[in-house]
Amino acid sequence: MEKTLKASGLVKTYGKKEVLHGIDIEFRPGCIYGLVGRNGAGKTTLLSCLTAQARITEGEVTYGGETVWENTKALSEICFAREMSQVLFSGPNTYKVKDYLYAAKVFYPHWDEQYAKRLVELFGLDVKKRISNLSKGMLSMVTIVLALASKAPVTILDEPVAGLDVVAREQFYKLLLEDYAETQRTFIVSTHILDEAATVFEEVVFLDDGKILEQGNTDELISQFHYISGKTEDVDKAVEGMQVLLQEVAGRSKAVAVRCDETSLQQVQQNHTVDVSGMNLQKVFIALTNSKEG
Amino acid sequence: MKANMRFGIWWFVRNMKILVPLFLVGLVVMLLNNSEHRIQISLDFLVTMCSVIGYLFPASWFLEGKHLTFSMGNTRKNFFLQSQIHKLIVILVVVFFNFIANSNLSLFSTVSSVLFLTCSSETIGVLCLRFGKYGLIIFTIIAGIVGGVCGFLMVGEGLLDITVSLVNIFQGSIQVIFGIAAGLVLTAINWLLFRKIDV
Repeated sequence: MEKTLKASGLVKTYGKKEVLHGIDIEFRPGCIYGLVGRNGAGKTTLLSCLTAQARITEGEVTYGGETVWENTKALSEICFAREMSQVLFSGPNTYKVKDYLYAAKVFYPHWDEQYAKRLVELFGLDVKKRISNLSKGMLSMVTIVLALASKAPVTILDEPVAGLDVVAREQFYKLLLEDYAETQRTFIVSTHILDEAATVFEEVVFLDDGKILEQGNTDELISQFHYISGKTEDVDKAVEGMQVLLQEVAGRSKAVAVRCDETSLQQVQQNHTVDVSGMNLQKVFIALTNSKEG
Repeated sequence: MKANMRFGIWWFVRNMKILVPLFLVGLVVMLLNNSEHRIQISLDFLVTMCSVIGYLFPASWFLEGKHLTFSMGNTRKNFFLQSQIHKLIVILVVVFFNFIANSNLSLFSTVSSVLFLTCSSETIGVLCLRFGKYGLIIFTIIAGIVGGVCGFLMVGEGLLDITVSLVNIFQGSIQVIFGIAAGLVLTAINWLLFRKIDV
């Protein structure tokens, strides 16, 4: 039976500071989700709460209808691959890559040893190297190996590409899609590097300041946002009554980012002398967050 | 729980592998000692080392073990239970070496003192996880006060051997009961602090 990971009315506070404000979100099985947000938006906190690593202040997190908190059965089906610490409380992290692979083999019931070996070879990782001696890129690679080889029905990666070069990032997305095609498991990938990731995400969640700004199918979301540019007076007439998210003025020209349906867009194109172009996911996110701030 | 136990034993053995060479070097040095009581001294050294190593393990499990296990779906319950298993192993090992050393110390005194030591080590781990560096400061202050009282008592009794001194504090039925009760109370407090921790 396919299970849904769900948060209802999720609130998380650290001391007196509330960092997540009543989040309602559902991750359907068999989908690749992108969790997008600025630095400090609350992405890692949200993911920590979803995987019972952080205690929630209010609300509920369930997987397949059962609460995830201290639930071994639920947690065995969720893999949360996050950035590894090179320094522990007691000093440098002297565990080796093979120690983490062993721990993953013990804790993940669906662990694929052969696949893990293949990935280690592909990334050129030395399993006998200590975590404290790895570069940022290699740390990201170890996280990716653990996530992909876990074969957990819900696999969460927190900023997996942060330390990777462009070739390695491309490799990661290719592996992700191959794995998804084979297993159809749920992936939740948090990132703030959007230009490459947008083509991979089926669904996207925009998180800003501890609240969900927008969520939905990536293509459908992008199709609602457009740039309209031209002479200032023409643009102002064209966008009357529309939700304007962002505007840039340069001399007598103006460019605005708007959110509108297909019908309104066609009317603009027919009745006004302006240029209309689409926006990519990154531009949509920037427009939404700027609009919120403005 | 099975996965947690399997990992816990692996972790225990891994850390023992690091400490055993040090242990053996110390033992060889003791045996090479020309004193006529060198065998007894060596056996006392074994008991002391076991106690010291055992004392370090619970804190180390909390501060190191969590990095490898919680991100892979381990629960706080299982993790804490594993710590109790480690404490039990340490107690059994110290009792065993005490027996080999033909020590005058009673079984209950040994159990009581090692239980108290390992529980307080567990407290260090939990306080540091919960309160960070402030946890270590809190523990250092408490340890300083307790250590000061113990040291005063030891000097008063003329006891110079640390292990024997610590165990001697737990000699006598009231002290044994106190040691075991204190250990159990500390364990309960540790669980109350640990069960809702963010990892």
